[in-house]
Amino acid sequence: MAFIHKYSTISQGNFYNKNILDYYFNNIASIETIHPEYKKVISGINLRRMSAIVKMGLANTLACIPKQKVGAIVVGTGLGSIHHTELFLSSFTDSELSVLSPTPFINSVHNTISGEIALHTKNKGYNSTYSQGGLSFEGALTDAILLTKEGHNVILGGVDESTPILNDIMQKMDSQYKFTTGSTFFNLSSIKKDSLAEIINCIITKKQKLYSFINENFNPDEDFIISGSSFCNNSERAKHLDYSKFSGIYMSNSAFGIQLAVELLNSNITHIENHNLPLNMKRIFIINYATNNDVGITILRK
Amino acid sequence: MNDLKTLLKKQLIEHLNLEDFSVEDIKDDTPLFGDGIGLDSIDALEIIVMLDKEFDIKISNPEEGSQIFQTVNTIAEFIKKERA
Amino acid sequence: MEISVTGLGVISAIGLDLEQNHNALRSLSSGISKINLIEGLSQDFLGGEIKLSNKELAEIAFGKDVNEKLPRSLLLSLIAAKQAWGSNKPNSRIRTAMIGATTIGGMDLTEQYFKTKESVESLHQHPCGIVTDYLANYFQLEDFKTTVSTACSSSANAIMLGSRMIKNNLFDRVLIGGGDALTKFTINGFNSLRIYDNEPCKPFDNNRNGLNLGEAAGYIILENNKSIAITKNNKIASILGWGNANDSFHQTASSPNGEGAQKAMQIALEEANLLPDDIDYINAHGTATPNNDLSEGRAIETLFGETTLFSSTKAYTGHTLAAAGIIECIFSILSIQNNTIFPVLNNNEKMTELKITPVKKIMQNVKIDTVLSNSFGFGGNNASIIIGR
Repeated sequence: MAFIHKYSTISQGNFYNKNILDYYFNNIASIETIHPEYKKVISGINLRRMSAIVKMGLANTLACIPKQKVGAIVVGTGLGSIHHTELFLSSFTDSELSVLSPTPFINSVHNTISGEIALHTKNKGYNSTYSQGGLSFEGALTDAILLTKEGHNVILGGVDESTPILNDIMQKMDSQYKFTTGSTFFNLSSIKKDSLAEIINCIITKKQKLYSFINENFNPDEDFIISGSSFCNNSERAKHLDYSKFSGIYMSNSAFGIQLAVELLNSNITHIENHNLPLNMKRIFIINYATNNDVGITILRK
Repeated sequence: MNDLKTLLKKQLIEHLNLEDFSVEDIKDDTPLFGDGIGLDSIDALEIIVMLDKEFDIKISNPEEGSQIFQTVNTIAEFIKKERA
Repeated sequence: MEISVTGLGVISAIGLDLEQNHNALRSLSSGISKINLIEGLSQDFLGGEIKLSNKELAEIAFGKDVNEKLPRSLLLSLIAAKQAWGSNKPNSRIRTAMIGATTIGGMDLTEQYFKTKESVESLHQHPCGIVTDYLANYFQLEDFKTTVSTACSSSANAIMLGSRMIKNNLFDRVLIGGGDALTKFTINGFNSLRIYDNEPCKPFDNNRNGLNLGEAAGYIILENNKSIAITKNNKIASILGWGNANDSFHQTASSPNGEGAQKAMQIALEEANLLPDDIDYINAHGTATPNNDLSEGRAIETLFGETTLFSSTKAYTGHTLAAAGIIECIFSILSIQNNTIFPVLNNNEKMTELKITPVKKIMQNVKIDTVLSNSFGFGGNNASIIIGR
């Protein structure tokens, strides 16, 4: 149906132009998001106004651009450029200035990421942005699957940023989680040849329905489950390989989980973090515990 | 006047986040928009904010800006005129 | 595959339901007035403000007073969504999805927090997806849900996604819509861009000076034939085509010749298998900014020719941001149902750059079977929807 051809991540750890698994097995610790040198990837004068979240998305996109023409760009983001939202809010709350700077306002608009990517890659195709909390990436992925069915070569991404103000607010709301910053982008198309994995399905459903879904669909001889959370403290994460441990916690981190799954499908790894992978592994289920009630389930096949 | 122009260049670099430019890179008569430095309509609005914040000069009609903001020279002349 | 509209709901500055909105449109009554429900604005602003407090909106939405502090866009959305959903019910034989749209989410509560530093828990309702979450829960929808956030084209893109999901047999029924309330954030934002008119806006007028913002919510139900056979809902209209294309010109401004707009309209026509001549009327984006109306005007003229019938309804409701696409789709349905074109308001002087002029007097008893509705957002996002009987 929809085939993944390329991927690129910027996150906790030095992932840009590398694989998550390489990093994992080389065990290089990092608690900060490591950004590439954007000046080397994006030309200077255009950088001046870009928010961090746009730089990440654009750098990842440039690493995923296929040879064929890109017909669509879709992005999922839970909070957009929260930094610029904070800046603009502060500008009219704290000061008496009647003349406000427009840059933080225009950068706070959620589809600035997909829009700037189109602008800089001179792409005039389909363009959309989804923001549904922990399910933001699943919304974008669902559209991307449809787009490949409609014949497009797609750039798909999930990206979110954190700020000190955001985490301060999270603490005040009594959350145990600190948000981090991360971005993962893919190139998808309907062409199977030379692809890294196939996306069989992506669904959104209630957590109560998860177990019956797994029971009906999961084959322990051939299938493997990874899971993660973008928000809540969910003890069920401990049952499976937890991608959010690698990615950090942000609303669109299931994109990271999907890249990890693609890498696992294309590796010879049989054992990771106390989990044994099936010898003839064919499929991986990526479960996103998005909230206390909602889950996103994506199924990939080799 | 030269001090003012140097100050203006520093402020433009800071306010518009022109990371790759130094004061020396911006000549007094380098066109700021179009083919020169390559600023756009949003930058023009930001320069209006900058003039308000740094010089207490208000420009009520953004279209005036396109004449005033052509080069550092024209901005400096405008400021000198407003202060008089 | 027929994609039928079977439910409608709308609340805006010109009415609390479909009938009130229709009455205002056909009596050319604008809802633009001085915004007086928002405290702390640096100057007076005109806008399409719904003259009801959040408490009063909650009473309409819930039928009673509620203790919870809910975002204004949620209250508006619930009112409109309930009108659209009507007596529909969840049904295991009808695969149902929910697609919302918003720019501000719970920003009205967030900006209060930034001012007072009180009620930090209200920030749980900041993110865009909270209205869709609430509505999905309210209507007991347990499957796909998402929120489109592409600024001023958000709900048009939501209609597009819902239509494609039905066309591709992913779902049988989709609840689609969006809502945005007026906030200091958006008012200050558009004012900082110097595109906020301090007089009532004049779409497609030579002396136009910018937009007036508005607040609104609108929802529709789309169903395929399989779903209609079960629900027995009446078909109100059809979605015939859709198109989305990126202008790729500037972060916020449109290209001078409206290439992205033209491409979106062209793609919509191809999807609908129609020619420009088949479109009876265009409900333009028409925000009254110098940039949009020129860009869109040129695109319409190039693609549809000099005798095209078009107008913008934004001088009635204001620019309702993420809700614009859906409420204007609903107004397009009113045009079809009533064979009526609602004219632009405040239009006195023809734009010198264009040959075309918008409809300036109400046109009744005119055959309107097919309408094209445009919504163009920041980030070069251009969306066009074609609606039929």
